[in-house]
Amino acid sequence: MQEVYEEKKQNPIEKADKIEIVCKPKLTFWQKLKQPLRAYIINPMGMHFESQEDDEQIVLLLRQHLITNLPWIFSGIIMLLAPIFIFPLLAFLNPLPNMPIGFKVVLTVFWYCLTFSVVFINYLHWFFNVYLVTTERIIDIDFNNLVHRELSSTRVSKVQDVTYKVNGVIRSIFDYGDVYIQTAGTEENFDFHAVPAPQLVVKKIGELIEKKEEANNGGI
Amino acid sequence: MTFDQIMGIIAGINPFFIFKIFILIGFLFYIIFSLVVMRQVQLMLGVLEGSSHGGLSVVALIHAICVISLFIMAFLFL
Repeated sequence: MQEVYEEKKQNPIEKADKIEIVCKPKLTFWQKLKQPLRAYIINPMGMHFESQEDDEQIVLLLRQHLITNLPWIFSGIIMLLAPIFIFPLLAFLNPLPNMPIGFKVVLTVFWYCLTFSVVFINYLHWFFNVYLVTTERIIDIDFNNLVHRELSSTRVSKVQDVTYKVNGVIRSIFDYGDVYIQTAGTEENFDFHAVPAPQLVVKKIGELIEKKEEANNGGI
Repeated sequence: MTFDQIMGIIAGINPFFIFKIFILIGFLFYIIFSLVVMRQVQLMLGVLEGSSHGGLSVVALIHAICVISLFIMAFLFL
């Protein structure tokens, strides 16, 4: 009898442990694999930013549409394939006949390192230039180059008007555009450039503003 | 030292040796650049932290190791 009682007593604790495990923001392997390439994430799990407040949650994380990366991806592919075409040409023309083999090897390795650097820097630039919509604020994180960063934000309650613009064939096909957020008074305006599904972004921000206004009115 | 002597010394230098010096100086700058990238990735991860972002600092570290290896390779084999 004593054992049964103890078992019943332990059960709620075990259940609570299970619930805690379920509630933890844990990404599956496939989600983790896809996340570095996503430009539109609703309620991103396990993500935090520098000046995040305690009760603040990220509602929307936006990057420029993946298609905007095509120029540097294309450059990277050309750089990657260039030696395949240049080497036979150099072998044919033979401009430096006495060049030691060591130079050829080192310069080839250097070329591929450089290609990787170009791709990696461009990827970092795309990946970390994000627009965040949180329950409290709208945030724009900019890394213009490797040594310059800028974080600007405004309160959702300060937002007066949100509009979007999709112009051009490519933007219409791939459904991305610019979102313009106008703020009250001297606060700076926000422009989200080339973000996916701008109509949904506008809708989401509109909902947040409504919720905020309702909360403020309820508070009064 | 006359002009002809100076020209004689210059003519005696292997052009690939001068090329090697320039390559090594260039690679030194490249190492500095790769270290800056590594540091910058750490700073970026500080600004926007995510559970799936850890791989980026590993990639930056591998990049820096590759560049340092390249410098050593150039120093030894050229």
